[in-house]
Amino acid sequence: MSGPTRVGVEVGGTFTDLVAFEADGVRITKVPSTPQEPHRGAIAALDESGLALEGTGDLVHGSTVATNAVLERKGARVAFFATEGFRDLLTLQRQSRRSIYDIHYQKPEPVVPRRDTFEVPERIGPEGEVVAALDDAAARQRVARALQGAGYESVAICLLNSYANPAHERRMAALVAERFPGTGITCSSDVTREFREYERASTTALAAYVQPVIDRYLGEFGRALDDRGFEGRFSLMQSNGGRLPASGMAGNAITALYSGPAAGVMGAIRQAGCSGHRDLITFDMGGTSTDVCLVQDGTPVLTSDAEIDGLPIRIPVLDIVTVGAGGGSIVWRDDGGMMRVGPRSAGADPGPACYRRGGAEPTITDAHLVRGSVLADTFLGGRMDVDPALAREAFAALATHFERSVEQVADDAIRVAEHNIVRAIQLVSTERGRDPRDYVLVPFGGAGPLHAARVAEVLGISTIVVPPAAGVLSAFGLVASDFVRYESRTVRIAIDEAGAAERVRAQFAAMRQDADSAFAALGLASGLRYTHTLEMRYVGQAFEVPVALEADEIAGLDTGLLRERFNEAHHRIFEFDDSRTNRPEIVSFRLGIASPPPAVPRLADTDAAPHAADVTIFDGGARLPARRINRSALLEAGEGDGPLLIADETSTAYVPPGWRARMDAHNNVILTH
Amino acid sequence: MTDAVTLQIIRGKLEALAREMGVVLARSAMSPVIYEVYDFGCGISDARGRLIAGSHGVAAFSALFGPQINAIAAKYGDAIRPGDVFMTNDPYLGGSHLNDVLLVAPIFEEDRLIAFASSYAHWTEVGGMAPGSLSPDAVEIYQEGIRFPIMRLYRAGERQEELVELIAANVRLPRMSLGDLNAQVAALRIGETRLREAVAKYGADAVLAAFDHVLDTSERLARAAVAALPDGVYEADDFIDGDGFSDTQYPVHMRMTIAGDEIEFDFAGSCDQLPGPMNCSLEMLLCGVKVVFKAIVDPHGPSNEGWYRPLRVSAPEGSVFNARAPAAMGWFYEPMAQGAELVWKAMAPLVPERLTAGSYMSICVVLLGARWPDTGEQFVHIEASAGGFGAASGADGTSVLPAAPQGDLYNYSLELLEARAPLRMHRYALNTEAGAGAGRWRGGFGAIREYEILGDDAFVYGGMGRNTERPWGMAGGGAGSCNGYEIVRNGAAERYGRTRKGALAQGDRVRIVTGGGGGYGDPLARPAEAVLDDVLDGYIGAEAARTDYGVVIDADGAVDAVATEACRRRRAGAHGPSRG
Repeated sequence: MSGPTRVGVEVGGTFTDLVAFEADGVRITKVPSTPQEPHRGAIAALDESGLALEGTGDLVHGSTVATNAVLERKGARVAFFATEGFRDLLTLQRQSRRSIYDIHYQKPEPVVPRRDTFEVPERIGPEGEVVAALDDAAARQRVARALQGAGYESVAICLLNSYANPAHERRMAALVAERFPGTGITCSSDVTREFREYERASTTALAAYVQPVIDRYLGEFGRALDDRGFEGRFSLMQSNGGRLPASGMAGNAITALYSGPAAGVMGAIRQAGCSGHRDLITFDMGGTSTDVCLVQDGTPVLTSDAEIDGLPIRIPVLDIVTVGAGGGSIVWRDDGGMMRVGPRSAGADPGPACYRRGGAEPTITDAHLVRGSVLADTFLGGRMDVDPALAREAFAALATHFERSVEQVADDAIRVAEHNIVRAIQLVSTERGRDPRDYVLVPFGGAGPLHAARVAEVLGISTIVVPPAAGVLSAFGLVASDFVRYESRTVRIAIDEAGAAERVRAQFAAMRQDADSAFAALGLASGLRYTHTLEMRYVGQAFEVPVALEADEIAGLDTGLLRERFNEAHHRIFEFDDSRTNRPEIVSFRLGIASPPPAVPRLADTDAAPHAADVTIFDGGARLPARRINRSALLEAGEGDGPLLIADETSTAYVPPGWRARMDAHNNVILTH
Repeated sequence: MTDAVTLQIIRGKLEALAREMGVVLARSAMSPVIYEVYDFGCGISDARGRLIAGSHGVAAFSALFGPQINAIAAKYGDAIRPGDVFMTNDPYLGGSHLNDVLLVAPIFEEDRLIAFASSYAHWTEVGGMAPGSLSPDAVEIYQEGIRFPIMRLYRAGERQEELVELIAANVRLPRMSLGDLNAQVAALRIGETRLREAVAKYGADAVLAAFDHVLDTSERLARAAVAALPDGVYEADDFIDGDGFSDTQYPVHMRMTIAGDEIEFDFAGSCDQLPGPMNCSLEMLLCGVKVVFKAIVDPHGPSNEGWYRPLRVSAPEGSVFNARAPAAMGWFYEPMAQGAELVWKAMAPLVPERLTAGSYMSICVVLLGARWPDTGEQFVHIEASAGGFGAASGADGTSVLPAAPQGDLYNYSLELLEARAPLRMHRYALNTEAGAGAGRWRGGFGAIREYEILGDDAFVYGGMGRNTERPWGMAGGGAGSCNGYEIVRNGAAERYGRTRKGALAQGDRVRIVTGGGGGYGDPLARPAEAVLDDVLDGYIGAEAARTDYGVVIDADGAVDAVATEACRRRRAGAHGPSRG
């Protein structure tokens, strides 16, 4: 390829990956992550890669820094302002007990302690009407009393019914800014304009909590880039699968919460798309967990129902389900004598038993070594020295208990892990009314391609696309992703009321104007594309079904079309629709705006791949003589039948008996059966 | 013979299936009490009616289904056909109260009946003498709404439209109630579809083997847990604080006998059935007992019948725990919670790592009604309130959690409520005023919710139990605080516990107050820094820090170590040795 170098840097829990697309090829760098000071790992990857940053035009970053700030409660000190009478929203939560029989249940800990919550006298009603005007003088006084000398880094404001009228929140923000200029301020109506006060308050508090952390992190990273002569565009991945220029993260840091997993999904969409596949289930299996996501017609499914550590977030994020099944997941026996895998992980330290770092509990990685589906000589491209004897030893106790051979018990552990993955895929498919058999499975991450075929068999999936450099596909996804932003509004409209279609058009037009100007401010104006989604339900229901509309449908929209679209969507999820007796209504609007990146480079295989070898794999109760080859050997042969291991520098794909592998023109290995 | 891993994989599918049924029900239902509050339960049972996997939602529901399925089998026997859906809400056939409607669908594999899918949901309206069908004035079940004996809503896939018309004609909000019915049927369909998928993949025999495996594994663990408890006879006493007809404290009693791996609960010695709707059936008492037992043997996993095989429960017929027809049953949940509480109280000292000190206990249902001023349309709001839980060894009590038998019950979103009801919220806060039990570990706090009435012809019914008897402390911890509700008019508040219908005017306010849980351990042993944190967070005042905990906070808001030491020594001398 020509043009300036483009770089993706992805900070994961264990490793930080860098993929650089240069004029003469692809460069892959892997360095250990530094969870205490995450920017150091990212900078180390840059330095280790030996890239000349002066010539780099585009650098995209994905990071778990916001996620970790929440999980470890290491975010900013936040002052939370609520309507008088409601300071306890964050503690009360929805009062629910997520583990229904646990009398000893503890609620998720809010990110703002009660002592940092404050109240202001004001009240907006449910229609947006002002019930009690915000008393400026009283509010000024309370702001001063709460913040003076208290050292808050960030202020969150969430007033009742502000989704219907944000005037009081905006006024409060102005009062805070007037007295304490420079303090970060987050209003709930800017983060999400949707009803349900606890969920909105939680989102707002989280946004205020991670903003200073992201600001600092990007500051450090940006300075390091400046020092190294970088003059290109620096952008960050968001949880919705699109990126934003780093400057767009000001006031918007919460969108970075699931930045890491989202990048992989975007890489999978791009790479599988080259081979013409647009309906995908992405399957990203790394060291500690597996992330799965459903992609419909080249577009990942979004949810507004996400949570982190039990705390709800109401912004559109990719509908990714995570299960604790990764290479480091521990295999254990529960009180009932059943075999379990995860969610506890051996992590990077001590790591799996085979790492020789003192880990004694068996993990999935150990199971692969025992049954022969991973070979010691090529582990992580030969970067890691592992001991198969330690892996066998770790499984000895389980083998004795279950009265099975060590190989058999390791194979069982892999089946249990694969079942957990199947469950995760069912959550994003069958539980959302989608049949997994209509999708292609795209495995990546270090361990995804090892399990993909068996997982696909259980789900009835017949085609698998294994991308090149699957172990670092997420870093590729960073470079391949669009710039994206979403706007949402709660506006209730019954579809059969007079002028409903007209109101829908006007609402989308107004949102489009807002989105355009926000993008223009970030220097993004070319090739803009829009998505239009209505959240709809029957009057009386409380949960909405997303109904996507094409841009050209909106011009000719009428009640009949709205009803038809909604009924289809409702039927798919709930197996009934009933607009004979019930009226559908629109509850909220969501508009997405996207701008494509410069031409996306091709992901190719790297040269450093292991040699061919004859191996024996223990799978499904039998010892299978198999051949381990590398991807270029497959390319030469055209195709090959399982049992087969196909390895590259970053991962290994297992092709079981009955499956056939072939390399296509886009460097994807296609598995079919 | 099916291998252990396959059994486990099928088991995981069954649990996921039950959960998915619950998701479908909640997401498509019409009653806020279902979709917002999660007052429902779904499950899959074997052909003999034994629950194999229960959903999230109300804990007590997920322990149910068996008696009704057996009644269906007894009534229809070989006449049960694919495509049938049975329906009942009869408390005298194993149900709870008339609002809780159960639907059951048989699942066949060719000609063989292999399982039942069930869904329970609380309908907002089933008719009767009062909107919302939970009248505290009811003295017979006939006044509480329409009663469905066990009947076929669908015959071989055909919905019996005449029955639907009969229902529509007998409830005040037919669109809502029939919408809930659709959602329940959708839940059954999903359950059936998923079970069929498992049968197609693994074969019916493997799935049936997994059923037995689930039950037997749970039974084994439950028996081992009981066997680990010291054999003996344990007793617990408590009071039902009024029934709406009077403020009398009615005694309840439970005698628990642990012998080997079996455990028996006998509720003899409890008061007779009450004149109003506060009565429950033996099946619902059993559900209450199951909820606490499950918390001891397996607090985190889903429910199945195997867990409960070591249990025996008895209560004299005609008592509040085993009412005789035609007693009203609308408020069955109060005696059920009271029964669960007795078990909890007797068990807590035996398993302090799984149970806590006493909680606010009562389901605390308050019903508010009014007419919209502009349209005159009737509105009814029924709400159960969460409260404070007791502390345990090693942890402060959790604030504002639903009572144990309720499981995972959500509150109403205030914004949703204001958009749909002629009510305005003025306050939703932790009840730090009445506080919680002091202790080495402090009790959790209750809540205060304050509504202003914006409608006409408004009224309120109060069902706040534990309005007199405070939640108990453990191991030297203090007692918690009481539940109640207040009517605030012209600036003056009057407090009530359980009441019959009371009239309200526009502008009156109703303040619902739940109590805090009991404390655990000697308050003087609570670290001074933890007490200071409670003061800084506004959970307790500086005065309470001194009087309850012996911690002296100085003018700068720091712990005065010397004064605290002296104060605690003095207090310990007065009350016996402290363990701090």
